[in-house]
Amino acid sequence: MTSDNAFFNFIIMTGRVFKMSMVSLWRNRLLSLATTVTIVLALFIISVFSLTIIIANKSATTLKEKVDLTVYLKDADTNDQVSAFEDIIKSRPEVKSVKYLSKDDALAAWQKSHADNSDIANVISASDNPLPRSFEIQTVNPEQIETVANFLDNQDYASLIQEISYKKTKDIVDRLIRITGFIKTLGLALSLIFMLVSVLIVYNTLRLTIYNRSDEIEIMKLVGASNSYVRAPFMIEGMAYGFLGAIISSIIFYTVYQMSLPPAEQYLEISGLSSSLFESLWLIIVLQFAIGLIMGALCSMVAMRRYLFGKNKK
Amino acid sequence: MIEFQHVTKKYGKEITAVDDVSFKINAKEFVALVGPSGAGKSTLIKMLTREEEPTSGRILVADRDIFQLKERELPYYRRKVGVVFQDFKLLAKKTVYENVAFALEVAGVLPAIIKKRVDEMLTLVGLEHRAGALVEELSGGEKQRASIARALVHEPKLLIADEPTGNLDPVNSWEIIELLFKINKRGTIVMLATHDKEIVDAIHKRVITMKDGKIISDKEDGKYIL
Repeated sequence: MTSDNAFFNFIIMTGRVFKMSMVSLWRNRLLSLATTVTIVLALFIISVFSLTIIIANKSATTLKEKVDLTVYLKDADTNDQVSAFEDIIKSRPEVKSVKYLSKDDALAAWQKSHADNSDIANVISASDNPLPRSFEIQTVNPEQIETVANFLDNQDYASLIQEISYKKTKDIVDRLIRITGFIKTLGLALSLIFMLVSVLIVYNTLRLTIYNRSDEIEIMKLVGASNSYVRAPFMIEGMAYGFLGAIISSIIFYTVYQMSLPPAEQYLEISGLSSSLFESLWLIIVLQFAIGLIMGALCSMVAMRRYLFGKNKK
Repeated sequence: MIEFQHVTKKYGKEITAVDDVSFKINAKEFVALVGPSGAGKSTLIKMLTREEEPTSGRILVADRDIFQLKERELPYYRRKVGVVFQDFKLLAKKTVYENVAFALEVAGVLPAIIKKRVDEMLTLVGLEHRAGALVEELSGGEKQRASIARALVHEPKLLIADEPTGNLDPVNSWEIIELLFKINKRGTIVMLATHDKEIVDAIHKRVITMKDGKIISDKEDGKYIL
């Protein structure tokens, strides 16, 4: 009596099972809504923290690269002394590059960074320029900055140096790394809590659904429905909660992302943040769907195990 | 066709619901299973549908021990054993047609075949004119007919009726018994569990009488002896 064509048969059964799950979802729409909302919350929190951690990591990396050593020279130094000093710095194996900034270069940089405020920009002019000459030194890796700084401070040319500046940026980076670590812990803890809560709620909803339909389940088994046919609607229902939750959470997440990115970019002074985050954004959205679906499937499996196929319920 | 071999079912250590029961039912037989409440009729039926497992002994159906069936074979076995209950076990919010069709749907039968089979069965039980009615609108007798139609839709070799007239008035009860005879004549084994003395005495069929989990009598053209 059943179709000979296994594929056709499968399509028919899938259709029937799918219809059953959707009917069940709709019948308990208030419960379904509440369940979906908890999943949305959990997924959204996971996403926001993931993105925050990614941005923080990126900022730390960018700032790390920005950490350089600036050596300000005394105005009294002669050009010969300066170029000899430059050679010495360049000879260090830790040094990646050395850039010499003349007084004019320093003035140009000053005027550029205060371009929006002409009063400040015009405080210094080419004829009256107190800005010192400087070397901007980049090391092969940021940890070597201190070594190089100490080296420069403790040899003959120390007398040429007005000031060595590097500590400030290093402190900022250290702080940023500490904050990132804190956000990671907090995000992980909150994500886990919300995931646990939504798992319990999905589990409970499915338990109620199974209980509501215990007559139907009993009859299904009685008339010879296979176990997978009895189970599939609950599995689909559980995964539907996860899927719906992921859709809604993704939409909210994407909207919030689009709204908050420009100010974040400005604040963190990282240009091209949006393009570098593009991949992560999609990864997070895919992650939401994966977590939602897996959570739903696991919940329904556990709920069915306990309430559908317990002892003496063959 | 059906054979119970020294079947015993205990619940815990104290209660023995079925105690060393052995009997055989041949193809096309009509058997009344009689006994007071708590005699073990329902437990016996539940073991035959594999809802309960015996503590010891074997139950053979078509020469196969049904407790050796694998989990995935069970649905196919259940389709070959139709069961009718005192409380009908129908889906109240669905129509008669939907209830009967449901048994075929869960088995993956094609829609066109479902239509044909359900119409056939509804005609057999005399409910063709009520196909579109919701179960909750039916009378007790009609509900039992609908549940018989559902039990027969897979063309089972065995129809078990567990107190099918328990909730019905005498007229409706006799209509159901007549229907069971009709089904039996088509070649299906009918096992009628009941404690209705009038019915048992009037049908002139084989009667297996149970008491306290044991078979105390097994007679062709038996009478109600309790």
